Amino acid sequence: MSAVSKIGKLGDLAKKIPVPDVLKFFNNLVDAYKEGQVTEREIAKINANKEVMLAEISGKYETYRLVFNRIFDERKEVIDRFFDVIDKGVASNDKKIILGGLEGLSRIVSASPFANTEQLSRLLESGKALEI
Amino acid sequence: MPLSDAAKDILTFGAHSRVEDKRAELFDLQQKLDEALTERDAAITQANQAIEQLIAVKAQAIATLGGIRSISKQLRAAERNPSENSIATLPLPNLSRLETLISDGEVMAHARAGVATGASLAMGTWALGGGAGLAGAGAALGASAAGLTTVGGGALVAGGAAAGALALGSLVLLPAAAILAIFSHNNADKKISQIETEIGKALIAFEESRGVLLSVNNLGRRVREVNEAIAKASLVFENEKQKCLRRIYPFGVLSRALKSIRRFFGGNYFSKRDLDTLLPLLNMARILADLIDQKILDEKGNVV
Repeated sequence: MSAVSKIGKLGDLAKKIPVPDVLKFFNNLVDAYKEGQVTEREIAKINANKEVMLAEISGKYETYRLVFNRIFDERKEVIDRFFDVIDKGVASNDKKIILGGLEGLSRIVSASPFANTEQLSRLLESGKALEI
Repeated sequence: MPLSDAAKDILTFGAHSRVEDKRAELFDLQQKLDEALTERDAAITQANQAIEQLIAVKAQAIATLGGIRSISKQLRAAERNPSENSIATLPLPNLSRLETLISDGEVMAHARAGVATGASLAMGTWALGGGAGLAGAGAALGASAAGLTTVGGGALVAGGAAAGALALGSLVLLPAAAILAIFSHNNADKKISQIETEIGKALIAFEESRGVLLSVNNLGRRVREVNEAIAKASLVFENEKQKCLRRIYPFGVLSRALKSIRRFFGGNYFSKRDLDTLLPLLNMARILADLIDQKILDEKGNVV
């Protein structure tokens, strides 16, 4: 069948469809298209929010992780120094030095590494620059 | 013949591909969540191992500390004796506290010997609770039982569902309601709305798993820190105790007998020289006791 005759058949078909229904059909198509566009925009907005949220969760976790790593590393350094003091005391059989080292060790261990957690949390929430 | 994806897309003005994209997005997020949960579980296993090690180290330290009980009893008897003035002037540590701690610890050590594998909840409570003896610690932690659960081999740390109890209080990030609100649609079709809700839930679970990971990692590090300190102090104390005992009881049983005879005839059990030797050792015992008694979890299940 040639293209000309196909178009002719469509013309015949159009004559059989009432004009108001054709208009309604096209109006519905336009509405569906518009709705699709609105949905598209909304999805894009939600996607952006989700990405922000994921970045925020990961970022906060990473910041807390770094801060706590730093806190524990510093404490480890101090603890190791007290271990050295104790070892020196044992080597020289000096009970005062041993006791001094043990007292220091006990002090650092009894001090909570999370003592300032709330303060830290508030600082992070405020978005201010954090000096580690 | 089923319609192709392209045909579905044309007919629905892209709605079909939007749904498919959302499904792919949800799948990616769920994979991310699975990885986070695996990481969290690995941290829980490590923390459990650290806790079991802490229980063993504390039990060993208690056994080491127990050796001083006979000396402590002699000193306490001497304290009650008005004729032994020299004792009153000494800055002695709280000996009854030492003895209570040793007794509580020995109960736990015996309980531990009776358990074939892993650590029981009571032992974990003892190891992490610190505080005024076993009963006090048990009562305190009983209130936060939701935060303590058995994982794997039976040791205790937070399970996934107990994130709140072991999370570091103020570190809780975004409330679940706020996350879900972002994913509420006005216009999207039902399928997309459902997938978005699932994405929101996956994000909440992801956030919780990060919080638990942080808390469990901190718990593990804190436990290892206390562990190392107790192990070191215990080793030093044991060495010094042996030196001290050789000095005050140079002839073993005979020295003890001589001291008892001296007391029987109204003299002091320990000489001034003995007391000078004992005082640093007792202070070391006090420090070791403080370390053994170190609280790691508070009443709310937070790492302290």
